Amino acid sequence: MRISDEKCFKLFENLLTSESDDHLRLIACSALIEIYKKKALEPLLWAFEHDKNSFILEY
Amino acid sequence: MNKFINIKYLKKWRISLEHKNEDKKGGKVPKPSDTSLILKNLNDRLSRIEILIRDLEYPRAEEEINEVIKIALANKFSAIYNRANQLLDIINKEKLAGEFHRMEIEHDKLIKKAPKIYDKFLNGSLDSNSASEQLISLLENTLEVDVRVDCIKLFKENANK
Repeated sequence: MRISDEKCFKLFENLLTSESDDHLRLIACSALIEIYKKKALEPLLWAFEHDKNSFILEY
Repeated sequence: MNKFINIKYLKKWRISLEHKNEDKKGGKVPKPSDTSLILKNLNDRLSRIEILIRDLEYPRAEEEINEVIKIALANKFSAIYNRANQLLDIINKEKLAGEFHRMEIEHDKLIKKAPKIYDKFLNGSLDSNSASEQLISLLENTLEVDVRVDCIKLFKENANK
């Protein structure tokens, strides 16, 4: 399935940084890593610094 | 003279008997009081309301009930007032149950939405772009976590297909 890159990336990034549901944030995080790889680094670092649950470490 | 008196008496007696018969036939029924007329009217309206509820005509039934309640309150008919309130409770419960049922159906439809989009993509009735657009739109426009998770999973699994 071809994903319209920027739109989808922004969507997952928003989910990672501002979604209140942990499960959804985690799955957005995994999607960012698997689909966008290096491009995902910046939002991941932001989440790592600011997310109190540090769920990225679990992932 | 005696005979004349008897005939006069008999005439009176016959007239009074005719009056009584008229009453029995319904010709000259004593006028019901206002209270009993209102009561009868309200009871009739309650029966009609029950039929409206049975036919699921809730807005009309509610309208009628509110009017009945007003009249019952003004005339202090507690039995009618209580019955009208019971009917109002029934309507509210039915409406709530209906709304809950509708939400259940909507929820079921929503839960199946992402897999359906994916199925359409797989069987070729949706091209890649349209499928991903529809998934993005679903992801953006629903608050249902399961549905959103489904969408992201589908993106993840099919990113390079």
